[in-house]
Amino acid sequence: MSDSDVPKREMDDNWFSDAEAESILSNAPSSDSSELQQLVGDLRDAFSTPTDIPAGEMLQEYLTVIDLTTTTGTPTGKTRSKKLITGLGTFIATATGKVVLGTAVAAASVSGAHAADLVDIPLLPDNPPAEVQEELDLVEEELDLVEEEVVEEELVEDSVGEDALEELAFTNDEEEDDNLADDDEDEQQDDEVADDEDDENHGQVVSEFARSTDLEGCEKGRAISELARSKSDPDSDDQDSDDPDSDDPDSDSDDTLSDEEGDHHKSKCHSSDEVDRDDVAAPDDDDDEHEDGNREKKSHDKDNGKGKGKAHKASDDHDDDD
Amino acid sequence: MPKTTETGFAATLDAARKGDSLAFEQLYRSLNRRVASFARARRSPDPEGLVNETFLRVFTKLGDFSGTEQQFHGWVFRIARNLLIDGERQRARRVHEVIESTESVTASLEPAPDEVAESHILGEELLRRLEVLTPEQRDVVLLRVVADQSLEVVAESLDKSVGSVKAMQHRALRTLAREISREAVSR
Repeated sequence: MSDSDVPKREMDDNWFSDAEAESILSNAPSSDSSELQQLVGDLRDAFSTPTDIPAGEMLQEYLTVIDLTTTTGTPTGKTRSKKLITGLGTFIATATGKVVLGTAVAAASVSGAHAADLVDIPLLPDNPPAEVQEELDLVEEELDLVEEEVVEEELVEDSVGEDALEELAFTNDEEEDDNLADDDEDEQQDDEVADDEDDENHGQVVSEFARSTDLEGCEKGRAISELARSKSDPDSDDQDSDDPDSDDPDSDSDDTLSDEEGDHHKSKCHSSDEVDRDDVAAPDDDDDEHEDGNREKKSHDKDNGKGKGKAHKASDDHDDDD
Repeated sequence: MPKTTETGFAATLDAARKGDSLAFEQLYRSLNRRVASFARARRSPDPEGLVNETFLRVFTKLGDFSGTEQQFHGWVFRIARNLLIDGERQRARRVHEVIESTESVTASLEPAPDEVAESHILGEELLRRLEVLTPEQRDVVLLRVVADQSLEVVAESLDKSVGSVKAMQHRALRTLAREISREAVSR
């Protein structure tokens, strides 16, 4: 028996019988306790609620009336969209969700680029529906960094041709941004820019080759010279064989090597020239037949200031030819 | 009022557990007005909010409940009563909340200002007469009279036996009758 329980002696002191108590509380007519019954009646009337209490937003999710034709009993309408967005956020948090998100962001970015006239994607509408745009906005806000990287890659691939891609391979990020414009005038400017960049890149290529090649001596120098000439003078190969000016010992125009490298190669070729000269000088009968093949070597040797014998012999040969 | 396809409280409860919106609505409509009346009689500053909070908890924990309809009603009023007690304890810590609760009780009445004032005054006068009772006796009277619940439901709400509730009921009526007689004599 708890403290709040009524003691038996009190329960025996029946002021009201159970029936009387029930009649009072139920507002049934009674002559014995009219004022008390009036008080009870007044209480019931003063605090009665005639209409249903409107359900709040959270409670509405339980009380949404569904179509009686459905069998699942799942709430419809706004609840589904709210749960969808909530579920989307949960999905994005997973690794799989992020991969899908990245793809979706790429698609959204491309569509955005399309809408911004940066790229032209056939069959893609310029103005996506508002609902789709809202979803895209939510996706973009989740991974801003990924979006930036994907946008750069997608725009480069869509707006730049293969040739430009090769050029861009040697440029920094700022130059890539400059090349993204696709107008005709911009293309011409880009070509000019690319030409200037090519000069620098070609020099780097030549330097790289000079450092990395296994060739030595005259061969190395010749190869470097040829590589250098291939950029400055596209017809340099033919010129070496047919252009008599190329045999001019005073001509330095074809030599694009730096002074240090040129001198080094010149001296190197010069030091080893006697061996080469002996090999070349011995078979005089073959000079005419191999004239074209040796002319290049001779002219190169001459240009590099190799031994007088060699030069003189080359010049004598040329004189004979003329 | 929309009806579920199956009759009986048990079927309604089972359907609600499975997520049937119609079942939820039926349970809500069977008790929401009585819970609101009890909340207003207990001077709740936000009776509608308390009703919503009560049924949110009921529907959230519906899977844990099992019993008859009377037990379900008792469970609902127990939740509502506990929420009222928690609210009163919070307000008791703030002295200025007394004035705000009076104003909010006035604001919770939707009818015209004159009617609100009259009913509000009458209601306050009635509640003042119940102050001679203990808190539990007062709740017994309010649950029986204002919420129109049976002895069994009141016992379930207060977590007491039916006999104890009946005794408290008797004591409350006796005290009120004695108080009314004293007032009549004093006039």
